[in-house]
Amino acid sequence: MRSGGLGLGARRWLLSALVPAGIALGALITPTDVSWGQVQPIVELKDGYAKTTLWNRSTELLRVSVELRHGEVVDGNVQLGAPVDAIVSPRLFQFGPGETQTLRILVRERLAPGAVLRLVTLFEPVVPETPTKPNEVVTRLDFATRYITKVVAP
Amino acid sequence: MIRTLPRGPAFALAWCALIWWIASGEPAYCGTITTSRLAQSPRGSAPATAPTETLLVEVRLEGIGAVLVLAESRDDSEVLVLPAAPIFKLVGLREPPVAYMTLEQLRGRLGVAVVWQPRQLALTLLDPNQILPASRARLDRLRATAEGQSGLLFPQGLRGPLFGLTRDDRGATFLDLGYSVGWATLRASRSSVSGRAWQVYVTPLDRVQLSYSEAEHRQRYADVRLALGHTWAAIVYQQPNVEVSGATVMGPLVVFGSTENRYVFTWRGPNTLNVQLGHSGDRSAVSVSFGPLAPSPLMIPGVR
Repeated sequence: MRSGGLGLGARRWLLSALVPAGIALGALITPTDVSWGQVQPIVELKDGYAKTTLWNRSTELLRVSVELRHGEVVDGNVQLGAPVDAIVSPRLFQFGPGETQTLRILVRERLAPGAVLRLVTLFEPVVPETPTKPNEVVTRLDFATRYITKVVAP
Repeated sequence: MIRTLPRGPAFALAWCALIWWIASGEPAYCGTITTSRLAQSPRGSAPATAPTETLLVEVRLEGIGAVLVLAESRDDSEVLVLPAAPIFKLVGLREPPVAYMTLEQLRGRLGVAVVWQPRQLALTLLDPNQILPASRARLDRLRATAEGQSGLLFPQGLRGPLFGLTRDDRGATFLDLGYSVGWATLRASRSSVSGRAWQVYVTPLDRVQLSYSEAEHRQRYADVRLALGHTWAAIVYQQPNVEVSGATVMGPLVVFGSTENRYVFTWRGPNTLNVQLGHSGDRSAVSVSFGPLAPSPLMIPGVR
């Protein structure tokens, strides 16, 4: 008589649930597919203008899109708001491994002193679409990295 | 049995729910996360760069300065179109013939090397031959400053005692002693050949220098040198004569004159063309030159 522990059916059920879940988690955290871009955490505006640098720390070509948004912290989470009337240059570009890209920002809106905007930077790997064999079906999971950093008005 | 059985499925369900929550949730901030939802970017199947995009470009002229302009990148970054007016102002030219120019048009119009660095969003104008008016003006300022200095002073900020002893194979000796406090220097020397001498150099202001010297078997010497922007002047007293000389820049024209009946007018035209009209003593000369090595506007032209 067993007074504790799991029954055989329960163990099998648990095993069947844990194995795919573990595989999924392992695939998610595999570092080889991470789009490893780098941005400066805080950028300061001066007269509505700021300049910063983006880095490609990965080993693959990355596609980057950048936008500047209003945002606020609600319950410890950043809630993105409307886009800021600003020129973000460049908004969309690609860069290779080890390359850097200068990013210039010119805000046209009048900002209150101490205002904090959110720079949303999305890094995605550029993967060729062509299959290696004719009539081949390719299933691919693309991973991306999105940074939400601060742009601070003095 | 009744108490323990539900724990397994409940744990498994909770575990799966945790995995699903991580996999489907919003990305973390300022860190990397790998979710499939992020792959649905707004660009979708957009090209690498937008067909037409406004770029903030810094245009630099080496040694002069920089200006930020709003440029336009067209045809997938193949063509860069820049506003001409701020660039012309930077290089010292008047109103441009057209409002916007491509890189090729800019190269052709300015006649200098134009280097576009898209990763830095920077456009650099290289003018080693000082063709552009702003480059020439900078050269004039440097020249005026250099001419305004006697060249005998210690560099500003250096101070302390100085000592030097020289002896040659004849047995002649030269002893040099002095002290500098930065803005003033006093030197005294004794030579077994030319005798004793002493000099004092003073820089009361950044743009003003004075010097005075006396020596055995030589005339007394004093000078005052001034450098004011594109103009410099020097008053030199060498017993018993006083010579006043100076030069100034007026647009493309540089005028140099001296009370010793020496003067030269230098007109610096487009494309490194230089025309000089000079006079020294009882001789006058005209010189026309072309090329990257521009003649000094302080040298009297002549046949040597």
